[in-house]
Amino acid sequence: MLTPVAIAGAAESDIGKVEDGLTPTDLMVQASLRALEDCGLRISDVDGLFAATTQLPMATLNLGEQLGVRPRYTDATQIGGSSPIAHIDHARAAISTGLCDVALIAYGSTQRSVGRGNASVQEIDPYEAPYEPPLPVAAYALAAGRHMHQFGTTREQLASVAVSARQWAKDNERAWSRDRLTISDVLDSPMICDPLTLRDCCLVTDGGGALVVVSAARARDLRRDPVHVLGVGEAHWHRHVSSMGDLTVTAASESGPRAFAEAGLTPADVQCAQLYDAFTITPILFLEDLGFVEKGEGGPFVADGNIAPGGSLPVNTNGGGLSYGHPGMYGAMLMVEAVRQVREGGMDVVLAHGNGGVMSSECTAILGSDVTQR
Amino acid sequence: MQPGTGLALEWRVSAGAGTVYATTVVRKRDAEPRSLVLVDLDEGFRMMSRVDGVAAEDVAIGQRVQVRFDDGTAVFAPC
Repeated sequence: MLTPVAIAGAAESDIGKVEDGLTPTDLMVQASLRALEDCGLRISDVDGLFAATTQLPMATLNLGEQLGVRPRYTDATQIGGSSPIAHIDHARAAISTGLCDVALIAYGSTQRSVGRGNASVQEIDPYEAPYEPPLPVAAYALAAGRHMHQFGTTREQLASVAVSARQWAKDNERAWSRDRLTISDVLDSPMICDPLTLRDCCLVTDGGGALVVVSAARARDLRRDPVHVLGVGEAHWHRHVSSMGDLTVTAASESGPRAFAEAGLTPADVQCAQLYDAFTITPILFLEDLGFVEKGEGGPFVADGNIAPGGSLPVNTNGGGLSYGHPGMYGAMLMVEAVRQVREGGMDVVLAHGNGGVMSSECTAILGSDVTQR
Repeated sequence: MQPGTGLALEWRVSAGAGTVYATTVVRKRDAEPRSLVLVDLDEGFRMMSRVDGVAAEDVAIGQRVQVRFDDGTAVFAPC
């Protein structure tokens, strides 16, 4: 039986292009200190560390060393951009079994400062390498093309995901890209991998984030109102796009139902969603796979303005990976925004969905303002 | 040949005929656009490859292709 847990503290590090000389560890630490301050806990209270970043293969070791934390529970699970949501799942397992009490989840990347090529190790796969796929974009392009073929999804519909994100970013002073963006701007920007243009692709920025997770009971005594974790689901089906099976269906179709079942909620209960937007095709896939719309209807749904400001389902309300920032892996920032929407956006039920690899790992969390939401 | 089981691989001969399952065109500065595809072989397995002998933009999902070897690498051409 899992102990109900809550996110007690949440914060971003510096984002965008950070000061020269800052390291991924510095950004993890910066975000961690801010998240601890947010909830009124001290470094000495932390006894569980959770971290993963493309630049640090043993990320919790760096985090612990720099913070001076000698954790009794450590988890550097690295499954790509969805990792921080997996960490929430693992943190509550550890809290439930008494293996730690205060779980600190952190992320940091200086991907923009050091260059994308230097920020992540590309595995050499003997079955894909001979064809030099520019990853990850090629995998998402293949999926987007397949989705267009099967369901009649259009480039304009893909572009509307980027335009919606930009409309959200306009009012977010922390967002990297805030200037006006039109459908034509997206379509006319340089083609990278057909059908995806430069503006169908997420940004390359620096940044980090941190979350403090404790039992819901403990969270009630802390500085901020707890953001309750109502349900979490993890799933992964493959590592390589050539092993994916149906390119139009992701493991979000498993992680989502798991999270909803635990929360006792349905997509209709969700007031706001943060859907990992590495490329414009991904929110479309996740809207479908998580059950907000039927398979194949994601394109028309986004083109009708449903995910934009004023739409029926606010999505990626900070501007997302497409306009706010995408520091290598976006899951931590996505979670911070989900927390913000519960705390300050007046949202009672917020869904956060992370994606890792090439539509490889999918993790879903459902957050609520009240534990009785379920 | 059959990922997803963890079982030891064994050699089987494919006739090399297949259907394009997904396709994209890789575009990089100072380079010709090139093909990248996932091909479903008739024997029931899928592989990443490229389609030669036709403009990358003209490769289409559902197109029938046949393997050929380019310096030992399995690539495809329309058939």
